[in-house]
Amino acid sequence: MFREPRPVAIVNKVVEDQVLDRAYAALADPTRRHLIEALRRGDARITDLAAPLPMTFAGVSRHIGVLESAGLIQREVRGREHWVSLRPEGLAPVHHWLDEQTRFWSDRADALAARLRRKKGEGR
Amino acid sequence: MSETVTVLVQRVMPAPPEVVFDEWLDPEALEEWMCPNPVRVVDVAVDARVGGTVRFDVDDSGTRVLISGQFLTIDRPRLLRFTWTNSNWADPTQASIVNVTFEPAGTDETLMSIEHSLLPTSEFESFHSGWIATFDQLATRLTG
Repeated sequence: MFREPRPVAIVNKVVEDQVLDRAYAALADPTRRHLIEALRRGDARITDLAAPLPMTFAGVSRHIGVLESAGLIQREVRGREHWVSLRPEGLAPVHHWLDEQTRFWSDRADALAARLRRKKGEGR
Repeated sequence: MSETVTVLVQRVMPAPPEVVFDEWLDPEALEEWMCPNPVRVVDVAVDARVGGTVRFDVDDSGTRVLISGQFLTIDRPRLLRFTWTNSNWADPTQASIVNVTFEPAGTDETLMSIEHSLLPTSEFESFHSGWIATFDQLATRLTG
């Protein structure tokens, strides 16, 4: 497998972590998670997204702005209306962290199970 | 209620909870199972008390990685809770929390659940200052 030289890899890592921080901070709010859930069902206008929520249009618009700058959604003007859609690739860094840590702990748990089985065998 | 980005890994271990729990605090055991091939151990240090640190200095395929944390809860043989930072993450102050529970399962077996949550920066700040406050209280009690 092709391996990039270290300095580039480190720069990539810094960028990746900053992206993760922003995405993660954006997702740390229940209203914003609700908006992401709503957009999973398809594109929507900000008015539609705001309707079921107990907050002002301006409040929802602010949350939309946070999600947009985190790269999780995109806004588009269609005719006279603002439409919002999900940007699944924006969630990639979060998934990447989850995958990496899941693998990390799965490997360790398996290694611990193997060690305990071996110790049990020796104890006999 | 705040839902966070969390990883959950569960396994049934072939030993009773006390035995499995102790594996998490024994440096010799940790050298083996926390640093599986190709990870090479440089140093493992465990200060097994609340507020004590745990540190893994490893060589992961040519990259030196330092993982460190502080114990928050040591409740043998039920619960182990500690902070977790990784030098391989761009922001080495980015903290996360590892919560491990041990439940008896079957005959001499344990259901081990590892829950690893990434703390958002905002929450981390309050967590961090809260933790320092606790630590100060402890120090005051010990010296006072």
